[in-house]
Amino acid sequence: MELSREEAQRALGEAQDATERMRKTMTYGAAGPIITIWGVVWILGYVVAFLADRFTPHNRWFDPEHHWPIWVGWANVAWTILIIGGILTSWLIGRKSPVQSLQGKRLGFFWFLLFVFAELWMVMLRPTNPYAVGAFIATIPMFGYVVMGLWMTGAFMVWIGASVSGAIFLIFCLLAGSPWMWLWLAVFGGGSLTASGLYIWRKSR
Amino acid sequence: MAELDPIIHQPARLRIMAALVALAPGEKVEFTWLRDSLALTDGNLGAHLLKLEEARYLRIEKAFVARKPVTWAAATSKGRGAFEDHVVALKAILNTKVNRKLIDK
Repeated sequence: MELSREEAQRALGEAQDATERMRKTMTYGAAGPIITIWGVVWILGYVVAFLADRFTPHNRWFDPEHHWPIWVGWANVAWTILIIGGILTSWLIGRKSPVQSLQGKRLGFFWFLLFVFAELWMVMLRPTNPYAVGAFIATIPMFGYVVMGLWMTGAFMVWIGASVSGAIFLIFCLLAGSPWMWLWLAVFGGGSLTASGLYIWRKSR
Repeated sequence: MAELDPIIHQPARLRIMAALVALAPGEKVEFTWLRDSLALTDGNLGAHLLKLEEARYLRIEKAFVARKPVTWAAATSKGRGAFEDHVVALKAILNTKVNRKLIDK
């Protein structure tokens, strides 16, 4: 079989393109839609927390031990429903992913473990400051972003994770105790997740 | 010395194999992703996959996901070896032609 130098070069270039496209799908694949879904979950959760904090009396209690005001209880109920919805949707998206790779499964498991870890410590420590809990939970996916960036996707996600974590810390320092903290967390926590999810979604196509 | 593989030599099949070998052994990709990514028609891709499957360069799996039929493709170890040899042969052509030009000068 005879092949010219140009034909060989073109063939190698086409093979390289196909390999790169597959690698990109493996890296970003289902991540775009899943991160976008979680961004929406975050925005809705924090907006509900804002509404509950601002418009529900603070002298009524959700539990008999008076650990949580009733507005925190309502916010927790909303968060629980939203998180279950987010997990189910993420699972369905992952299941429908066109590439079934070990990397994708590892990534899904990493995020699952990260949230289980955070939730377990919440249950163990039983924190009584809802503003600290809200800020802490918002930094969890940002920590995940930094790990993902270092692990596979590169500097873009490391920067998003680090800068949004810094913004969340600043919001907490300035606004803890005010219902407006939740709206700022919706913008920085949920907004950054949604925006970066849509960016990754577009990039993976 | 590695030689060009007549089955992988066809451009569409070369791109199919290049995409599949990027996956780790045991990993697989959906038919529709290959079709869209490589800009092939259903019939065209199906024919090329069949040819590669006959050569045992890839494995086809069919399953139902959410009650819809889904076809998956994955490279076999034989297919990976054949693709690697083909790429080595292509690179050898480049090097040989470059060397020949240098000698001629």
